[in-house]
Amino acid sequence: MDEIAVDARRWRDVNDRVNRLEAANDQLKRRTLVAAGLNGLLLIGLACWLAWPGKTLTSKLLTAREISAESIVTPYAALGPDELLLLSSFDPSSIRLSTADPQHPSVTLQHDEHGRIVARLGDGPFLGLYAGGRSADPDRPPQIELSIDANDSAPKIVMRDVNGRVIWHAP
Amino acid sequence: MDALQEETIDWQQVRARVARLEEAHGRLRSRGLLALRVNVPIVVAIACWLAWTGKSLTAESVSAGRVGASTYWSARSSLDDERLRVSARRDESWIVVGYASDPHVPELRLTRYPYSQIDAMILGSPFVRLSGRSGGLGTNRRGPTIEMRFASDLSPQIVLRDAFGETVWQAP
Repeated sequence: MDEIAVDARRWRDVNDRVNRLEAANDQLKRRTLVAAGLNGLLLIGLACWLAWPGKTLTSKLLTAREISAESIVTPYAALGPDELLLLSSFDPSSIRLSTADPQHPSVTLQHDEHGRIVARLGDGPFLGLYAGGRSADPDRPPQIELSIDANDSAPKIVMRDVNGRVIWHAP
Repeated sequence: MDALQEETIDWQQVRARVARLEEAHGRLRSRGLLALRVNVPIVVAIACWLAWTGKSLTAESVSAGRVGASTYWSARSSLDDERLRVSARRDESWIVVGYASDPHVPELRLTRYPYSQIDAMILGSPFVRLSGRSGGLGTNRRGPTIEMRFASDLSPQIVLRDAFGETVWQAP
């Protein structure tokens, strides 16, 4: 009778152990599946993020043989498809190289208080120096003008006073 | 005897099953731990790499809608906040457009050293100078110049100077 009781207890113990092991194994399998699913999602997410062309990327140093961009900007400079603009961090001045008007590519150095220099190609080349600043009439002719007239191909140098009156010219 | 044999076989089967279960349990646990040890550092490293702004990137080609940086440079040209500089292959000629360091004035400078130079700047007033061949390396001679400038009363001037800086012609 005692032997039967011992056997029965051993059976129960073994049965409990088997049940615990099976439950633990099932739990481990489920966790493994969840982890595999999460890893898969993470990898797919990373791959999508890296392949997505609309993302922003920040790096201290970027080295490439070729950089292709619609525009390149620094805090005070911008290089666009048809223009380079450099702004001063100290003065109200700017430098602009532009082919925005394809008929009149130009270089302009401007200081809002001291004047501007314009070099432009249109029907003929033009170099103009404008003294004075913001208060001056923006449509006034330059005080010093070097140009070649497109109609008769005649080169000319003209100097004007601040009122626009010609004070010297050549020829 | 038969009952005892059956009981023995049952026991052996149960023990074998327990052994298999324990082995499978151990294998699953060790796989889980290994996966955890491998995956966590990988995920943390990728997240850190993506989030860390101090990283450097190297690529054959980069395409973007807009690129922003403090400085751009290539083998012979550079663009920063202050200026764009383009140099020739043999570094004997260069073009600089930007702001001079002292004084901080806007300037455009085309140089073919030591033969000729064109300067355009706004130094108090607009100023353009065309310089010819200088006296050579190590001399103070600038070479002949043509200057377009403004006097202090903002009257325009064109001045031609010889290699010693002496005025040889001027208008008006």
